[in-house]
Order: sequence, then structure tokens, then C-alpha cells
Amino acid sequence: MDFFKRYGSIGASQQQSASETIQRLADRVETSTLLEDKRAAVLSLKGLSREYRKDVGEASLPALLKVLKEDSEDQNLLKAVLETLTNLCTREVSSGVSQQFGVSTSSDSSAQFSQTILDDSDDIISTLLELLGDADFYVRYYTVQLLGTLHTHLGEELQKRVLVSPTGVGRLVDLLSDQRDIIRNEGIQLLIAMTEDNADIQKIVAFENAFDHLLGIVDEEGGVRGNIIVQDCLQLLHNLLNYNVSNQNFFRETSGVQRLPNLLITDPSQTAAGRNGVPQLSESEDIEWTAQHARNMLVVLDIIRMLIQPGNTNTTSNQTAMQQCGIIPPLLQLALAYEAPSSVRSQALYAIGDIIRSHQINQGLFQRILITAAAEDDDTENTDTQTIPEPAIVIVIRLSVGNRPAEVPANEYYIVRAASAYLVQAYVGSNPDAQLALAATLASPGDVDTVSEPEKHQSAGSLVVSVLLDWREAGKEDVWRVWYASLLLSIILCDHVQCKEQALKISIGDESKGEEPLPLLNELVSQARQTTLEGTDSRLCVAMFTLICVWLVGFPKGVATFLEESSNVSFLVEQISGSSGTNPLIQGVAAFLFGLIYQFDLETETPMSREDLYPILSKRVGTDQLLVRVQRLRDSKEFQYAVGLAAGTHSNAYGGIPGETYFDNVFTDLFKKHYEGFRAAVRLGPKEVLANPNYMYMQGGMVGYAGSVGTNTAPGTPKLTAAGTAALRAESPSAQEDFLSTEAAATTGTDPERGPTVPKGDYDKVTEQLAEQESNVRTMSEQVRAAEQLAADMEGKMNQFKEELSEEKKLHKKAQSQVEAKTKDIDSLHERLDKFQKQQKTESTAVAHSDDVFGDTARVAELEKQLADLKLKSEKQEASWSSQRDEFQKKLTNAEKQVIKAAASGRSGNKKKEQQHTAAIQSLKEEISSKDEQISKLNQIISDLEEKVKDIAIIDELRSKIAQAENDQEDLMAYMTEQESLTKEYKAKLRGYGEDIPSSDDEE
Amino acid sequence: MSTYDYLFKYIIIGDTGVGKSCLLLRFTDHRFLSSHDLTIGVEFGARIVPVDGKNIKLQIWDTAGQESFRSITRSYYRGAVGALLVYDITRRDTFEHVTTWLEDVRKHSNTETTIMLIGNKYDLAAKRAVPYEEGSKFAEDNDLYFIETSAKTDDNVEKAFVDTAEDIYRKVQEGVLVVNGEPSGVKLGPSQPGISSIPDVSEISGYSCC
Repeated sequence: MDFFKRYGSIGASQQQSASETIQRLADRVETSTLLEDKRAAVLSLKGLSREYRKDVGEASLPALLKVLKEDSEDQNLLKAVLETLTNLCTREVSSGVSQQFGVSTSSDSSAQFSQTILDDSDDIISTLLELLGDADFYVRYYTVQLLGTLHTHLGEELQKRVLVSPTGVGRLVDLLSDQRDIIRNEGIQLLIAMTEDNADIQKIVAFENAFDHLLGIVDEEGGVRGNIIVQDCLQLLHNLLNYNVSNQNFFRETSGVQRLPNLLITDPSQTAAGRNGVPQLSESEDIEWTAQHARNMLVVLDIIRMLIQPGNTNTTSNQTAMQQCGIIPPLLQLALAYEAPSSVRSQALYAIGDIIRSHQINQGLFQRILITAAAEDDDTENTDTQTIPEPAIVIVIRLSVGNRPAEVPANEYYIVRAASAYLVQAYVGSNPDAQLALAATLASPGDVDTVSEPEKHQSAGSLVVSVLLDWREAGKEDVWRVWYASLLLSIILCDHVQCKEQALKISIGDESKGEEPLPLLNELVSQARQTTLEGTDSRLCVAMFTLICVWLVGFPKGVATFLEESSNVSFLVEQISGSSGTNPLIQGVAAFLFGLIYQFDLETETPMSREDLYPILSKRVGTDQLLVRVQRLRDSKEFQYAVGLAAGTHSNAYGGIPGETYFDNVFTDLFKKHYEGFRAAVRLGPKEVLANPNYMYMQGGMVGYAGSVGTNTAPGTPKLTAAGTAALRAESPSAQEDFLSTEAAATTGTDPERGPTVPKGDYDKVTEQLAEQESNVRTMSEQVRAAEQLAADMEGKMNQFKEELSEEKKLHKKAQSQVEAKTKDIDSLHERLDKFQKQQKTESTAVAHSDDVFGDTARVAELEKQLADLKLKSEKQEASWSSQRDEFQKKLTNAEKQVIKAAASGRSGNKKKEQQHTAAIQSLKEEISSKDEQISKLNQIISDLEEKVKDIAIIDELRSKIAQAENDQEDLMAYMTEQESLTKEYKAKLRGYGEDIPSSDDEE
Repeated sequence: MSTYDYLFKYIIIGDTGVGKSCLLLRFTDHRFLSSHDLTIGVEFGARIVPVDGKNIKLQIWDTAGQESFRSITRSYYRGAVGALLVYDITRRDTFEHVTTWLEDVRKHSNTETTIMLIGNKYDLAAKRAVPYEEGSKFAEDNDLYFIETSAKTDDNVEKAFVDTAEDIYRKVQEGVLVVNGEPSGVKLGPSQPGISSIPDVSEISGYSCC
């Protein structure tokens, strides 16, 4: 070697010498029988392993692994082997040495060696896991290191191998109780890596009492105020619980939840570590929040929230457990900690929200929490003036809409506002009493001009209102303050009609100052108009519109108030049909609001009826235009963003990126619920509402719900009863969502079975009526069937008789009319004859008669022929009539049957069928009258014929004609008499059969 | 959250489909599901039972019986002080595999682990394929406790868990099992200030195998 060093060319020969040396060393490791030699060789390899990783690995890896298996007694040797292996497997940081020597070390040689180690046929991994139990510090330490290094390359595979070893995970967990901190900390790191997403390992680690170990270390290290080790322990705890229901149960069962509050305490003097005298940064009240402290706390808060994710099976038990172990007070303390980072404050608020959400007992307990605020955010000089304890919820609302600390930027403090709103929503959700209590504070006791002043003496509700109305001042530097005020008011009013009424009573404007009091609702509209005029952030107008939507939906009384101010509608219309300059989001919300107003303008005393609104909707705005605007809103990325935020319930709902936040989840939920009904409702005409019985009942339900219509009577037909039931339900004031179901029931015709929020009595009554009606219908249809059966026997004969009877009637009528016609004809013939005779006397002189006579004779012949034709025609007509009569009779019978049915089901008032019958009868009548027309046509022919007779000159002929006609008349008379007697006979027969035949007019 | 004096860790092992999860569900939730999904890996359940005036919290790990999970479930043997080895009295093969299971437990668990052999599905005794005597004999030969149970009709389920707990408690009292040892399937509850109980021989209840 010396030779090469001295005489060889530096670069190449040095490399060559290194390779040779490495090979020689590797051989020695493999073959040497003396431990001394082996150890020396390994140590040399170790020295070269960083610089010549590839060469050392390729040459010596099998030998090194063999040592690991066979010579595990010599700790120095083991130590060196482990260290060398770790070097070989460590991912290369491309720097220095290798480049300097021009050695080509392919970047994946470390991965390749790791794979070789894992693939070793003698299961080197279990050997390594055994070595974790070795008492020697270095052996243990380097073994953990080697395992950690291997995990960076082949995590999943290594995890599988560890699981195969029955004691493997146990040994890893044992590292947590190693007294030597360095080893313990390495163990924590390795466990964090291995529990990232392997549920089996997570469970075994938990089984091996990791929870106890970890919380113990956190305590030892000074609690949440401790160093990065605390963060690591908490991170591992987080890994063990995340997405692992079994471990979450286990955590609760082993009193893990009870140990969480202790982690939240920031005052070191209160923690166990503090009491034990572990030195802390400061004991003063104003604890400085280091970045580490904040990171530790955020992991704790994340663990808390993870255990109470909405909808999980364990959430309720965990919520109870957390409340019982007193976790809320320290969380509140954190949330109100002026000096804490916004992220910590916000997560603490979210956590409280999650603990009380949908949990009645916790909501109730939260309601009773009183806080004596010592230091207010923006008002530190004034601390001594405020000692009156206030409800926690009031303080939280103040966090949401109050001033922010001057040094925190608006877009950072925003998350605190968002989290406060989340907590308020969790507090009033399915807690109508609390909602009403908040609504009761909306009315401002004093003037509203307190927004810039210390907010202490203002009630929570009135603060919200005043921030909203004084948006210029409040939103000057922080638009979110106003935006969240709008959201909070939405939350307070949402789906709660009494709250909506409460808010409707509020008037703005001091009469003593000569201001005209304006309802808060209309004041809001006017403020929304101001924001558009002044070109303020469009969020404000959108927020106010969405708030009004929440307020007015299903609330006709509010709609009526809105319509009192005629300019309100024109403002909306302006926004909807505004030119290209108008913000499409404002346009969309305005369109949705206008549609809701049209839909819910159902109050009888409304200043503008639906009829008044309809032309505006259909003509000025255009229904299609309106729907397109709303659709565009729905498809907008801003709206979809809000929907997405609300859907991810565990994500910080509406605490997203400020730039994209326009809508809140109260509005998006409302929109989703109402969108389909809304589309249908704006298509309806103003009267259509009333014409459609379903809609009418729905309307009744809504009005009833709004409390302005007295009682709902049970609807007449069973078909409508479902909707009626829903309407009655909706009358229950606590049934906040029920009118929605009413609407759904009305539009879809189904009645979704909802919870028992209906007043029991009403519901029973309706159900009873429904049952009664149904049984009535059943009995009726049975009776009808029996009657049909009975009637069927009679019907044959009856029909026959009826047929004959009516035919006779017809013939009789016809004959009569013919007789009348003939009589008339004869009269007129007589007249003409007289005329003719007179004429003849005056003109008889020199007229050549022959032609005339000849012509007359021909005419008479023609006339006679026509008369014969007429008779033939008349006969044919009669024949066709009689066939038509059969048809009529059948129809009549049918109609009569249906009339019987209708009569049977009479009480149910089946108007539709009655109408059908009436129509059928009507059409029969029409056909009869058309026959009459035909008769009159026949008469026309006769009279035409007579027209021609008029021209006939020969009196004798005429006379004979007259005589003929008179004869005919007599014949007809006789025929008529015969018919009449026949008719009487038939009627008598029919009466014999019990048929009720009214004495007809023609029966004289 | 009720307090407890001692905490014992159990495992339930045995072939797939013998009713391990049903036994656990019956014991912890007093319920029975005729169709239970295959257990994946290991599931956890817990209940407090009174033994000799003490509240004993049982933490029970119900393991998957399938061969593919065998290596994972073995990891739980080490930390358990009670093992319920279950077979199905209507399926002879499940009884025959008990030998293998037993070897496995003996190999990986603490030597003082109390093992209870359980012949489950007693409600289907009409279709019995393993006579009671055979099970009982096997238990006697291998120094196990033995009981036949029905998770469906809730016969002897409580007894199986409680008898095991009584035996473990006896070992604790005798000092055979070290409380809070490492690794340990026995721990003191949070209500206990420390290891204060000195084993009291006179208090050992006469335990009899069924």
C-alpha cells in the first residue's frame, strides 16, 4: 500500500488501492478465526464505509451479516457491524467525498443494500429485533438506528417482517421505557414511522401500553410546554388513534381521555411537572407562546378533535367522557388566551364545538358556564371595570364579531372568528331553546352606535346586529367581522320561526331623534343597497342577501314585511337584471331571494300579492332569466367551495382560505334543501298555487307553521290527507324542518315519515280521519260492486225497454215535428194557392198556356219523384236513427252506471268522476241535438220541395197535392196516436219493473 | 367511567368460525349476532367484573382465527395474563387444532398465563362432534381450565371470563404474577395509590375447575 501511495498516480491508484483494501478487509471479516482480527477488519470497513459505500457494501455485506448472526456475543464487534451497516444503508446526501474522489456511487446503492439485508435468508430482521433487547447502550442504539434507516427505504416490507416476529413490536415499545433518553427518543422516531398507516402495528403498540408510556414521557418532559420530544410523543399518540376505532376505544377504556385536560394546562405551576419543580420559562400569567409550545398544543387539540368527529360511533361516549373529566374549562381558557397564537385559539374553539355538538347534556352544561373576563382582547387598560361574569356563549360570540387584537392581521384572526361561529352553531344545533335565548338578545337595549366602543355591556345578539348595520366602521379594516356577524345572525334565525319573529320585531331608528323606525329586515336591505352603491367588498352584499334568504324562507310574515318597502323589490330586480357590471354572485343570491319571496308570499295581508309579483317575475325579470342566475350561482366556484367546506365536517368548516370564502354552510344547506322546490315554485302562476290542491295544503301548512292561520281541517279526500298530515305537523313550533318535509310531501306526493315532533292529538285525529275515510271508501266500493251485480240482472231487460221507450219517444217527436211541418206546409200552400189564384185572375189574358201546362206537368212529375225520394230518404233516416239509438242507449246506460257509482261514493265527493259523467251526458245531449238538427234539415228539404211547388200553376194539381198532403197528415196523425199508445204501454211495463219513470212532457 | 382495582389483559384464540367474537360480544355487550364478519387482525373489548370484592377490569383482545393473521395475533400473547382457547364442539377439526394453539400460547406467552379451554356452541349439542369428556380430559392432561359455553344462549359465557379472572386474581394475591411488571398483563387501576396489597393467603378462594 505504501508503495502505491508513494509511486502510483494519485487518483486512479488510490481508488484501486481502496478497492483492493476493501476486498482484503472483507475477506478477513469472513475468514478470520480470531475475533481480534475480525473486529479490526470491521472497524476498518466502517471507516471506509462512508467514502466508499458502494465498494464496501458490495464486498463485505454478506460477511458483515454473517458476523451479526454468528458473533453476537462480542459487543464491540456487533457495534461496529451495526454502525457499518447503518452507514451503508443511509440515503446518500450528494456531497463532498465521493465527488472529490471521483468514485461513482450510484444513488440507489443504499436502497439496494437495504433490500439485501431484508432479503437475507436467515431473517436478519428478527436478529435485529433480538438485539433491541441487548443491554449494551451502543448495540441497542445502533440497532434502532439501523432499523430506522431500513424503514426509510422499505417501510412496508420492514413492518411486515416486524409483525412476523411475535415479540418484535413489543421490543420496539420497550424502547419507550429505556432510561437512556437517546435510545428512547430514537425508539419514538422509529415507532412514529412504523405506525403512520399500519393499523396492525398501531394496535399492538397500544396493546403494549404505549398510551401510558407516552403520556408518562410527556409529563416528564414538562407537559405541553416541553420540547420537541413532547411533540414526538404526541405525534405518536396521534398516529395510534387516527382512523383506529379499536385503539380509540382502548384509549377511553384505559382512562386516556381523563388524562387529556392535564395536557391543556398552559400554566406550568399547575402541571405535574411544574409541581415537581422542573424549571420553566416563566411563571407569570402572560406566558410566552413559543413555536414549539404551539406545535405541541396543536397536536393535543387535534387528538381531542379526532376522538369526537361528528357521526362516529364512539363520539357520544367520548364527548361525555371529555366533559366529565373537565376538559371544557381549560379549552375555553386557551380560546380566550389573548397571547396564544390564533391557530391554537381557533382549534380550541373547534374542539369545544365538537364536544358539545349534538350532545344535549354538554350543550346544557356549556350554557351554564360563566366567565369573568379579566382581560379583554382590545381593552387591556380597562380591565378593572369589568368583573361581571358573563355566559361563555356571549364571550364566544364576541370573539367572532368583536374587535381583533391590533397586532394580529385580519386574515389570520379570521380563523378565530370562523371557529367561534362554528362553536355557536354547534351550540344551537338541535338546541332550539338556546337558539331562542340568543334571539331574545337581538333587540338592542340602547343605541346601536356602540360598535367602536368597548363591547362589554352590550348583549351578544345586539352586538351582532350593530356590527352588521355599522358595516362601514366595523368592516373598514376587517370585512370578516361583518361577514361573521351576518353568519351568526343566520345561525340564530335558521329554521326557527319564533326566532325569526323575534328578529322581525326589531326596529332600527330612534324616534326621539326624528328618525323613522324601520324594521331591521328592511334596514338590512337598505344597507345591502348601500354596499352596492359604495362598491364595498361584494362579500357584504352577498352575506346580507344570504342572511335574508335564511330569514324569509318558509316565513310568509317576514316576506310581507319585506314587501312593505316597495323599493326592496325594485332593488332586487335591479340586481338580478343588472348589466355586465353586476357581480354574478350578488345577481344569483338576489335571484334566489326574489324567487323565495314569490314562493312564500302567502300572507293574506301581504302588501304585494303573488298576482302583483307575478308580472315582475315573468315579464320584467323573466322566469328563465331568474333560474339561469340561480344556476350560475350554484355552479360558481365560490359556492362549490363553501359546499365542499361544509361537507368535510371535520375540516374547519367555513374557516377555509379567506380569499375564496363568500358563502357559509347555513346558506349552502338551505340552498340545497330548497333548490328543487324553488325551481318548481317560480314556474307556478299566482293562481296556480290555489288551483293545485296539493300546493294549497302545503301552503296551509306553511301559513299554519308561521302561526298566522288557525286550524287546518282534514282534507276531503284520502289522497290529500298525507299532505294534510304534514301540514298539521308543521304547525308544531318545534318542528323546525318539518315544513320542508311538507313541501317535499306536497311536491313529490309522498309523506316521508319524520320524527314524532307532531302534537300527538292532532296527528291521531288526522290519522283517525284518514282511517275512517279509507274504510268508507272500502265499504262504498263494496256496495258499488254489489249494486253492479244486482243491476246486471235487471239491466238486460231494462235496457231493452228503455231502448224501445226512447226510440218511441224519438219517433214520436219526429212524427210530431213532421206533422207540424206538414201542417205548416199545407197552410203555406193554401196561402200560395190563394195568391196564385189572384195572380192568375190579373194575368190570365194572353198568356200562352200550353208551354206552361206542359212545363207544369213535367214539374209535377218531378215533384212527385222528389216526394218519393223524400219518403225514401225519410225511411232510410229512420232506419239509421234506430241503429244510432241503440248506441245512444248503451252510452246512456253506461253513464247511468257511473252515476250510480258516483252516488255510492257520493260522500267522498269524487268530483272528477262526476265531471266525467256530466261530460258523457253532455255529449249524449249534444248528439241528440245533432239528430234534431238532422230532422230540421229534413224539414228544410221538405220546405225546399214546397218552394218548388210554389211555382206550380195548375191549381188542381195543387189541390190534389194539398189533398195528398192532408191525407199524409192524417196518416201521420194516426201513426202518432198509435205510437203514443205504444209509449204508454211501455211505460206501464217499465213501471211494473219498478223503474222510476218521470211523467214526461210529451205524455199528455 | 367507573374505577377499577386491577386490570387484566386477555386474549381469545382458536380456529376461525368457532365463535370467538361472539363470546366477546356476549360478554361485553350482552348481545349475539348470528352473522359476524370475519375478524380482521385483532379487535378490542372491555368490561369490569367483580372478583372477591374487587373491581377487575378485563381488557380483551379478540384475535382473527385465520392462519394469515397468525403472526400478528402472536404479538398479543406476550402481554396477556388470560387466554381463552376456543373450539367448536360441532367441528372436530377445531378441537384437533387446539394442540397447535396451545403450543403457540405456551411458546410465546408468560408461563403464568391462565389458559381456559372453551368448547363453544353448546346450543348445538345435538350436532356435537367432540364429547364433553374428551374436552375435559384434554384440559386435565394439559393443566387447563375447561368449560362448555354458548354465546348464542348465553350459557356459561360470564363464567368463562370470571373464572379465568378469579384464577389470575389468586395468582396476583399469591405473588405468582407481578403487578405492573414489564411486560405485564396485570396492572393496578387508577384508583390505587400504589402496590399496597400484600398477598393474603387466607383470602384465596377455593377455586374449582368446572
